[in-house]
Amino acid sequence: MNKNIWVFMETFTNKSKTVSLELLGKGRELADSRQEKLVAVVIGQEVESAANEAILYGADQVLTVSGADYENYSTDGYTYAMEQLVKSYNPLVVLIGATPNGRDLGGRLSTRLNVGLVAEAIDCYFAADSDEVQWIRPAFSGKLFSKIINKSRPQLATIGSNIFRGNQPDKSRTGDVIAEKIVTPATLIRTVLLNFTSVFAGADKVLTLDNAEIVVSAGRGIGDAEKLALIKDFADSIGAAMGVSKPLVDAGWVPSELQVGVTGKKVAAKLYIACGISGALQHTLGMKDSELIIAINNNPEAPIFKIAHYGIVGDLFKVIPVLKEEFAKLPRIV
Amino acid sequence: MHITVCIKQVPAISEIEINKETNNLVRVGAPSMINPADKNAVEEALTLKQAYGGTVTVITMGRMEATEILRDCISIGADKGYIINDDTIAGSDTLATGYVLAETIKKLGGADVVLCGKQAYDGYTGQVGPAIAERLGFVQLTNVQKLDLTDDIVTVERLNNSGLETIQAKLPVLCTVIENCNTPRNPTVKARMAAKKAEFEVLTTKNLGLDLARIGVKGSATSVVEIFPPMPRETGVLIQEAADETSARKLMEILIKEKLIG
Repeated sequence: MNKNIWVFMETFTNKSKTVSLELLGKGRELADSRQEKLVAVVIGQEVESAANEAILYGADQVLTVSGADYENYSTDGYTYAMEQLVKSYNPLVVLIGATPNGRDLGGRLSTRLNVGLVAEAIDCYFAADSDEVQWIRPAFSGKLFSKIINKSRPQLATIGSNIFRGNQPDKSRTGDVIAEKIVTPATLIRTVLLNFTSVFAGADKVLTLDNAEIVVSAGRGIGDAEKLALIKDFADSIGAAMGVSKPLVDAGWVPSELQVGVTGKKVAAKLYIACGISGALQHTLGMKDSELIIAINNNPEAPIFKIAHYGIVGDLFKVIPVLKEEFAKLPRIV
Repeated sequence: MHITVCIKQVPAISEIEINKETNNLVRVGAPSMINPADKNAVEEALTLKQAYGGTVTVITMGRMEATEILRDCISIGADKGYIINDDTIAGSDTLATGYVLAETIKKLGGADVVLCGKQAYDGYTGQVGPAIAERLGFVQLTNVQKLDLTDDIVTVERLNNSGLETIQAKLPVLCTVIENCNTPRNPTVKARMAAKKAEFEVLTTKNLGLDLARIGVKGSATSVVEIFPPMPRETGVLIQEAADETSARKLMEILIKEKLIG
């Protein structure tokens, strides 16, 4: 009988990736709904701190596999270790972050075990009174969704970053850590990592509309070009990139690379704050996929309020200073 | 050296519309194209062939219309194309698709290098490449942006989300390539005309000797049980207190309470 919910903890320099911590939150939910245990799997050279962290984020148990062979991800080594673990414990569900390494591992492992995998799921839950998970994923480029089931066990899935929020670490949580001794035979690891260049090395990452998780955009409602400084200041204070609607580019206030919209950049931010933007289709088609949309506009009839999750009808120059002050009190923004 | 490229015909997504009443897919004129990343995989194969000699074989699985993308590959220099077309493989998931493609590669005499696009434009699972590699017992190198070969040693640059890896492995290998790894070439008019005469062998479940229990809807581990439209967005919450500052504070309270921020 297959039991328990597993989360494969992807690590980098012995630290868990955010997506894996997010999956622990969802895994906890799945486990609780069926009275299963949530088990985190940590493979690496040093596994202790990631294992302890997994418990704080929701795991009841952690399985670790450590050794010099696992310092860096390799398809052969990690697939072998996961295969051994799955075969000795028979989990019911295995969640893997849909990162390049997670997808690399997921595809190989699924075929090695001859079980199905649902890629890039965006939601999942157990069907009532069943050990079968129903997986939701977008179909036809997001125009529709599909519900998928997996008749094999374990049920494998990859899930992207920023799909689930995860739980806050709870220092009162306890759990057991089981160190499994799995040594991948040297002849099985057929790749050699010659060099690695971290994206975090070198110049500081510049926030742009392409990489920012938070975007603050200004529209005609800000009045004049000088007011852009205030918007920029607010954006900087919450770690956001600044964007604008088309009229501001047309007016020559800002260069076109800051424009969000059909003819500009399309963004799917975690948080999108539209300041003084009326909400023409040109603009909204470029930002509607953002997870949380907040609009500030003094016109209650502005179309932007139809697409915003939360709206404030009022003077943005009175609203923004308060938002800035309140955001500053939070440990993190999103 | 034998290079095999697995390619897929995908619908040009922008042309897809959904019938709002029936939720059925309306394919306006149904224009189809080669999956963008697969185009790069073909280009990479042709570059390898130019440098080291050998043959480039292109394989696709799908409807007979997909021979058009095989023809495109011939027009830019691929040697041979095969189409796997059989009703019994319809509905195959990534596990089953990996089985069909790996068996096909074996039947066609194996390969030194198998190339695939990083993922398909329509399904974006990125799972079929690793599935083929596992069944062939090949080393897999996914997300490759640069590929070099010296004798039987391949050196690739692989992108993962922490940075750029340089990895070495001995042939045979399967690589999945990302879209900006090269610039796909275009055919000359003459080559395009010549490719019109190209013929493609049709492979079936039977002549490949496939196990019917491992293909199609029946042989797939995963299955789609429902297709549904996105929930219409609920009307947002509008806040308008007497003082704008109060509105702002109220909004922050709600967002924190709903765990949307912080």
